[in-house]
Amino acid sequence: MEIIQTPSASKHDVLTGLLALREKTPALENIFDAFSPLLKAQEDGRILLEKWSDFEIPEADALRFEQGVPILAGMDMPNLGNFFPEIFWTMTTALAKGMPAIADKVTAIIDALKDSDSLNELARSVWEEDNNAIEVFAKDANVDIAILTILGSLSLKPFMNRMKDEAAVEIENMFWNKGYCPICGCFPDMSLLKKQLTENAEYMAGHGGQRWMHCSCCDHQWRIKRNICPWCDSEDYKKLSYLQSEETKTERADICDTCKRYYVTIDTRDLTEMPDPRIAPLSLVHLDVKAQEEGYEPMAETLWNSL
Amino acid sequence: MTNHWCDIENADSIMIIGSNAAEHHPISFKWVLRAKDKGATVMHVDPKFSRTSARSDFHVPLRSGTDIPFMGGMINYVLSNKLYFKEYVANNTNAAFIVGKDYKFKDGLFSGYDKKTRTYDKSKWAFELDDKGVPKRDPSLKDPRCVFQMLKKHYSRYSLDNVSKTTGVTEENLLKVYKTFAATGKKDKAGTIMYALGWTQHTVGVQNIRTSAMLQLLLGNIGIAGGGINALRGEPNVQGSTDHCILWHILPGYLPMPKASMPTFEAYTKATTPVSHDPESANWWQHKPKYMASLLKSWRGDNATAKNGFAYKMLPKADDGEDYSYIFLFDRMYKNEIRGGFVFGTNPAQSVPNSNKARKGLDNLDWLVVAELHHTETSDNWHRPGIDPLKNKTEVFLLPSAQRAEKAGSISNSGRWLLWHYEACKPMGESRSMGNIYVDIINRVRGLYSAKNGAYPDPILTLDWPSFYDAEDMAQRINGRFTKDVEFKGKKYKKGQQVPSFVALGDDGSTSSLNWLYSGSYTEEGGNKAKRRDLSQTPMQAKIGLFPNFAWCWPVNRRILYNRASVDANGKPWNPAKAVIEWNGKKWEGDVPDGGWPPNATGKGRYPFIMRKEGHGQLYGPGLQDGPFPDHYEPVETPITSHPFSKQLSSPCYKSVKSDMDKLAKPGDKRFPIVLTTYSMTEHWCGGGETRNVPTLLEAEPQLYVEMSPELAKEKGIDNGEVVVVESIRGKVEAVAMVTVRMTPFKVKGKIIHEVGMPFCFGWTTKGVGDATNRLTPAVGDPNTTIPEYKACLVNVSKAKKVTELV
Amino acid sequence: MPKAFFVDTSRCTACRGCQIACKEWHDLPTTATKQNGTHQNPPDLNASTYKLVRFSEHRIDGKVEWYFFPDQCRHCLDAPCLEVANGYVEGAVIQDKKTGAIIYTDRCKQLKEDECEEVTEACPYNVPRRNTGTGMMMKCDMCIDRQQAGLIPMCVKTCPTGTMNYGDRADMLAMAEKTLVKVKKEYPRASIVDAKDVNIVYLIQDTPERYYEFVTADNSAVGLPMSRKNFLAGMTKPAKRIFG
Repeated sequence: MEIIQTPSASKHDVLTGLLALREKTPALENIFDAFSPLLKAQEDGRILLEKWSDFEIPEADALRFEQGVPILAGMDMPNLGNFFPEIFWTMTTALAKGMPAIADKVTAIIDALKDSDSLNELARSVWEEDNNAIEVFAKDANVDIAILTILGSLSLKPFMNRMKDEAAVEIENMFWNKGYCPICGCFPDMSLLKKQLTENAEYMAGHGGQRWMHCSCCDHQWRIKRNICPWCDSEDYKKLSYLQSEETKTERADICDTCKRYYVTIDTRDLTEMPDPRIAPLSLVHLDVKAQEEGYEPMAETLWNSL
Repeated sequence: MTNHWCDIENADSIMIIGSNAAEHHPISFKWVLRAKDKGATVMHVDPKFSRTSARSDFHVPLRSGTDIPFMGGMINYVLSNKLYFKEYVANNTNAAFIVGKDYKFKDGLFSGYDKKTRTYDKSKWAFELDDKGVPKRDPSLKDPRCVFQMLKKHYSRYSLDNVSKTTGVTEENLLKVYKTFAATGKKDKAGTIMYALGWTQHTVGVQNIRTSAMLQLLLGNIGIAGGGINALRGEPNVQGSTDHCILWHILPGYLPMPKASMPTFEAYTKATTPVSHDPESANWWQHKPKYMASLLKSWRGDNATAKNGFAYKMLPKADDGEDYSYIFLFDRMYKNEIRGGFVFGTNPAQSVPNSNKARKGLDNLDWLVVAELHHTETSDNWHRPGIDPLKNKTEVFLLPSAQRAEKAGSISNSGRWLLWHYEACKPMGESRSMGNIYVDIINRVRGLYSAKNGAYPDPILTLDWPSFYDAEDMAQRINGRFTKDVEFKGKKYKKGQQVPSFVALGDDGSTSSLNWLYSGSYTEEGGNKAKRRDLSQTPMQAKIGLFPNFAWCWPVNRRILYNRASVDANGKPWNPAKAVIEWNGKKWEGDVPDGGWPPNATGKGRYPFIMRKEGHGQLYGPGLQDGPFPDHYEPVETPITSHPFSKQLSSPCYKSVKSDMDKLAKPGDKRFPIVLTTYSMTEHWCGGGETRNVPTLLEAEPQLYVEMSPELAKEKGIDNGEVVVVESIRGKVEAVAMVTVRMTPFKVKGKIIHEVGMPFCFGWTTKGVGDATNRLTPAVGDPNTTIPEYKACLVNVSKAKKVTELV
Repeated sequence: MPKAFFVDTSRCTACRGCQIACKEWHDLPTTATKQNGTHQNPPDLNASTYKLVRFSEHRIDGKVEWYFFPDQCRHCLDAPCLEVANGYVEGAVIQDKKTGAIIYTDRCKQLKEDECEEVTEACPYNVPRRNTGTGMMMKCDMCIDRQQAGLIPMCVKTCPTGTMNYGDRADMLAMAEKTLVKVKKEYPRASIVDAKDVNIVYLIQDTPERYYEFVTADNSAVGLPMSRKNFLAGMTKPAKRIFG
């Protein structure tokens, strides 16, 4: 499996990127203002977790993996220690700040859980996708279950991101052709079409792009075939197309009429700067709106494409 | 190609000869340079220094038409220095075979030559057989009549001195190439030969290529990664159209054309199916009746049955000994024997040799249908310069055809990969794809026949003809279908379902297939495999860049042909680092092997060259029209009057036509002392009919030129950029002199011979660009294929007194 | 950060994709050309050809060398043409801060014919050409319209060989140095041309004069280092005219 650098991830921090995007697309100011605090909180979480190493990546079984089982599938939740509560509170504050409309519900959660020592239990329920347990937890605390779930998963994301780098090394030489993430199994929130880069002295290089998917959960990027639907694996070219605005031909929503799903894409082949896939989807919400208006569902639900 | 594009990167030594790969097959160079990056030596042997030469390790200029001496010299070098791969030669080639007593070679002629018909009686070249009918062999290779000894004797005449004074290549340059390439005769080394039209377009075209087959067999370079003989095909689908019978003498899948002497299906199969008495020879062509029966079934469906010989009788048959290729076609047209015709996607008024005659031939037609993107010299022949259009009787129909991106379908690349492409946009205006045009025309013809009942309607009305053109349906028909419910290899198939591979094809009418080689490309299990873009591979396949799940490759997805020759008798690869296939004790791993039989040491194996009757690579090839060993013959028009190899100056068998316009310059003709070679160019596509209509391309390459050395220019008093007249015995052409150090004078037998080169893409329908270079070239052809000798003829060059074509 | 090109001529195959793509992107008309003894066509840069692949060939010690040079405006860091033109008409030529591109504005039309000639003469690389119809000065604009939309210049996009590279100036200079080390092994006379003065940085395989006259500023009568002094001197020229 090919691993590529995401130059933007190392070169620029999230905030700088956000500011630049906000400047580029003033029409989306509201969106940026709403989600910047959350993205900043995610970034802070990632930085904090550089100190966390209390986990062990399962050994990769090539056969199982190449049949489509992500490396972290079935892994028990590692010990999150005190990192989880810390990230949870950062995330909560950010959500309240960015979205005044739900601020009171978030404040209710803060009030109800501020002295709780069972936040890691919440983490476990979200990790195991145990909806009953989450429901019990929300009922006990008497808080909004939807927002609690969102906060739970947002707070787990930095942990997935932390584990991703080591997991990626494990699967470096293995083959993956699925539409979901080879590490955590989540669907992509966007894809990038990239130019082929190679160290070889190429006499002639094709100009066709390679499609790299970006995981909505752990930020991993993996390459898949260009002519396939990541959701339903359909290769029926008559049913695979895309929506785009007249002005910006490098941005589009790829749609599949077999499964009625979509995901957003930036064609980076002609771009002077490589977009940062952690924040780029924010600048594409107009495509989310367009695709959803035409009856397509996103492959990965994100805050900005579902709220 | 025996191998494929990506495989070039596995080579340790690359010889590009008779090809300007970098300019005309740019993508090939991606792989050439990858190999170079890994340490391979890249050599370019060609009359002209081109962009290919610029990116090679070195360039060796060679006089046009002297490839056989060049290659014969290398064969001699390999044999006399014992640089061949002995085990490979002894086991996989026919080196050990004993040649029959009737075979003789004397002074440029083989035994069995008939001067009157200019043909050989090939039975004189047969092998000596044992009482079972199997060729006798001497594994020690010492018998004086074994192929190996004959080969040695034959090429002993190709000394460095003889080769150098014929080719014009210095001995130093010869040795540089010979040493480098012969070094691949080792188990762990691979050398590849890349060639194109620079080798084929000669009266010895087929024998040019034979020399590379022989050399590669001697060095053990066939069947291995990074080896092979690699023909770089032109327009992306030249490979596909050849596979599907664009040539007159073959039907789809290289089945021979029916002849008058084969009146029935039985007579056809008996005459064309080889029989081997050696149990270890797979003799794959023994299955020919199955492939022919399936082809006939796919043409006529239920109207073809085993009982009626699959309606074979309805096929038109070629007269024995007749030739229907371009040279002869246009000769008949010139002699007023043809009334009309269809020209699809080609521009013969521009690309047929001796085009002054071809153009006059077209004048004799009553009607002409041309399907093209633009007007061409063919569609507009009736009002060409110097002709009174009012006196031309031809009624011309120009059908607008779709451009490549406007249609879906498959192409087969040089590596035999079948690749699907989708329609990117709808055809412009009223234009249509060729398939669409053709299917509809025949449907209208069928309508007329059924309404008016013509002279012989059966062949037209019994066709299993689609009501409309659908590329996907055609791809399915090519793969083939079962025509009744059957069980094959434990699996049940219903009538109408796709056959899984050509092994399922039968001679009993149970299957149809438009081309047996493509059986397996569109199956029930795998769908349309031309659409596959899956890059998965095993670690063993990854080592040689083999992607079995990307597209599909004929035959049966085998990427490297003759790969059983890449292993020893126990199925172990000669070079484990670049293994193509390997026997793991139970089955083969890696590429699809040439037949699944176990390794030969088990006693249950088969010889690796399964398409040959005897199963061996042919150092001695008794099947060709012009001799079992390639020998040097000068081009039909040659600047010299003798050569050191024999008294036979030109090919004793080359094909030609006779008419008042088919004049040939005599050897060493003082009026035409200069060699002309012709070629394509990067900026214009083939005859230029398409690209001359693209303003930016025309701006970059606006006019016909003739490339010549500064030495020749000085001799003739010609300045760079001046308009000159290039003249052969057949015609005159105006061109701009491009005086360049990239052309070299050749020293041949102590005398300087000049060579000039011209592209052939400029024609009069684009104003002021010049007109057909092929007005100069002769209509003479190779005895096996009748491909014209575009690459070498005689001309003279002089300053133009008056310019008419370039203004 | 200013942008730069790194043009590695050792990888160029003279396919002329850049020349043609440039024309198509800028919607420039083609000219009726003639074959004049070389593949190089149009023969020179002109008002509707901003990019031209130049060919040069040599037989050196019996060995043929064929060199290709995709020529265009070098977008000098301190552009003499800017100084000269603006001396006559303020704002005729500007330098885009973000990309470093030297841009000829519509005001160039106000330059008189002989003033335009002076602008061309001031260019050490002999690049600017005057459109005799509109009076406009024409040359490569580094695809400023594309860059402003976040897209790479057209010639870079089209190049299939890795000859044309585009990026931050520092990255391009580093790439040039790295490539030079490699190319020098086979071509010891290879060099990087005028890197400190221009944003279009060429790597050439042989001495500049084996390509053509205006490959490097050192070779031309104008010369970049000289031109710096020159344009200070030159500054006074229009003043003289105005007052004198």
